[in-house]
Amino acid sequence: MKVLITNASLERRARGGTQGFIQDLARSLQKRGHSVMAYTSDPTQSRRLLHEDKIPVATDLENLEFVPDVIHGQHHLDAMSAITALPNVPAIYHSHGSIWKECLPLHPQIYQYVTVSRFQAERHLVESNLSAKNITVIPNGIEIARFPTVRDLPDRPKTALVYNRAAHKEHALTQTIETACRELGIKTDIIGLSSGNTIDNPEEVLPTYDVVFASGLSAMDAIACGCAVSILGRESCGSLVTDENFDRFREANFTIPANATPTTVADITRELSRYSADATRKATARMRCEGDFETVVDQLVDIYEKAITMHRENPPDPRLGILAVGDYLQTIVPLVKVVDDYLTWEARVPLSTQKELIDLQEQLILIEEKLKKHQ
Amino acid sequence: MKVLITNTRLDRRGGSEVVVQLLARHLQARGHTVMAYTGHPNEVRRLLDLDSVPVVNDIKNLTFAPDIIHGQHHLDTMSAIAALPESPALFHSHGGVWKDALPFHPRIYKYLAISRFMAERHQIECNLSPSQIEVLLNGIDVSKFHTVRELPPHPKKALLYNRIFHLEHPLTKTIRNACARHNINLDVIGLAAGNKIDKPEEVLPSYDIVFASGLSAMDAIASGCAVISIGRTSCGAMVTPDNFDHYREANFLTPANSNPATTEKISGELARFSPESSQTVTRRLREEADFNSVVDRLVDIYESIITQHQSTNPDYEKESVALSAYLRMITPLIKVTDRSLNWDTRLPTDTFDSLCELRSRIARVKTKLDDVL
Repeated sequence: MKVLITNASLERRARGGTQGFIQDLARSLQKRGHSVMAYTSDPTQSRRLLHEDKIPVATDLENLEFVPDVIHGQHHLDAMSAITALPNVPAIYHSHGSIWKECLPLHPQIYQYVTVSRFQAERHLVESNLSAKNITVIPNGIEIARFPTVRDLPDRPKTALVYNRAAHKEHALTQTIETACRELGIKTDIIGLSSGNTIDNPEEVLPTYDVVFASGLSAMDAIACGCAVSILGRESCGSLVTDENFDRFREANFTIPANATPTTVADITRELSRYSADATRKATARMRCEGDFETVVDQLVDIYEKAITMHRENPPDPRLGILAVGDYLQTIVPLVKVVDDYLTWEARVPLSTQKELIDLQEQLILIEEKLKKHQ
Repeated sequence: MKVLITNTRLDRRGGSEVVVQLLARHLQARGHTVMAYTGHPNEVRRLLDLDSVPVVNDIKNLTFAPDIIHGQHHLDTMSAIAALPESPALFHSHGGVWKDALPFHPRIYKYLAISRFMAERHQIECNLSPSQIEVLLNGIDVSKFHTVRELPPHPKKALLYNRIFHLEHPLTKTIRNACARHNINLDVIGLAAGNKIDKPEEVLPSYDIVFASGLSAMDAIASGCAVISIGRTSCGAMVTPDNFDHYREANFLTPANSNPATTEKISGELARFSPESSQTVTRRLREEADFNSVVDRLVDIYESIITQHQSTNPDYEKESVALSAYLRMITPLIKVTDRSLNWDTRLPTDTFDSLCELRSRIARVKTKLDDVL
């Protein structure tokens, strides 16, 4: 089978996120004998994540010699560009979250939608008026074989890691976690994009920590490595993952709601006091048994095959495809116009302005101080 | 004939909005049905309200499909073309900015440019054959400008009439200095000056000289004023019978990248003021640039496109591929925006105001400091 995977970006970044997902997916599909290519329209397409995986990246969709059998669409801008460029190819759309670029596009060539959690699926059902049969929940998986080392946890935790792209020294939640850990005599490190130290080898780094604060795929990596994991939200921490709450967290893709109440030091120390090497071991065992990425690929291949068959037996009316693009354009055009207005002379603020603003603010403070001294 | 006109906005009086308003009014007067469409989110005060032209809100479910789409601005044009798969289209580009760039789609049968220079640019940049693009020079509603000024032997009142020049703009200052040399008083009217007008026919005839470009320059010439063409940073020549054809072909514009104007140069142009020469220019414009002749040509083009479309079988596959190319053209812009709206690179929206305020505070504090020292 020939699969074209679209994504908002193919830049090389920290492991995780949709880039990490397509890297794993491409590798697994190739291993099964399928042909894979990727597409993105990202304008900063310089260092491609997929380079290292020998996956071709399509740059001229209209003139592809090698027409895919199915489009695995991720991120609506790239998915719709590919779907319209290849009007005879069926597609599935895989949404990994709830931010704008993950919204579901509607097009007759899209036969099935896939989400990573039940809550996301319910949201899409309601907001996009989909029928339940058109949406499948496939919880994320990780390449278990990549994590051969499983940590043997001590009775009391001594080291913790905040492992998240938003975490850094000045970040309020990171500081709360550090304070709570310090009170319990636990040493804390921070790894992630914002703290300026992303890693490519989580399989080597994660097993050196007793407790890891993370979410999504990062949390799954840490659980697979045998660490006790506390799920991170935007401003809050959830519970430690145990065998008891494992199903609930897996169903939620190991995330907690973005609008959860901000966590206090007391909340975190209470949660850390529940640390149990035994409960964590059971969670790790379940993750290594149920969270393998290969089961995700099994389900996806099944969905690809169904989409291909449905398309072959009953191809959609191409006129409806054009109308769907009309609807789609109407949703994105207002956004483009706001930007275009902003970039025109009436409201243009050059990017250097921000720096100038800061310089001027500093200058003002100095002059005002000087003035005060002389008055 | 049922005509759908698209435009980036319908809520203010800019060049292309005036064309929509005029075109709609003239087509209605000839018995055609007209509707307008914009995908602008600020569709609050519709310019067309006053003209009883329906503005399409739910384009996909229109109960009667237009015979032709008169597309202006690619975002709105492509939205309408995709939403109305039975209607053929033309694309009318009014300038060289991004939103006027030409979109491509099998149902766009003709492109229109407002000057020879723009047509040549589009031909070269978009690999168009000469038969695909036509120059349709702008027209104005001459009957609206019923008052024609009788010019005095020596000019006393001048007007800078343009949306982008405010009182502190360098060009405004240069023009004011040049006018002062000739004892001419200068007023400034326009969006940036904070005093835009809706009835130019009542205001323009009270000035001897008007600095303007495009449709505004044409309005002023029709009102009997002597006109000096302006660009973004520069002033061109006084419009005279000798250079009239050149300026008409260039839509009364001075190239955006011209050298900045000097007081001497503008003063030299002001010295060329001649009531007789301006009278001839006004007469020629009123004869040659009436909007009725623009509408005559447009209706011919509409009819030929409709006929051509009737004998063309729809190719939805080709259309889908064209829409994909279009999506790929606009997607990078959306992505850059989406990123800049995210936490990592967000800029405050009020940066500009803060900057201006800071600059003036620094100036005030520096003055105080100088006083104290």
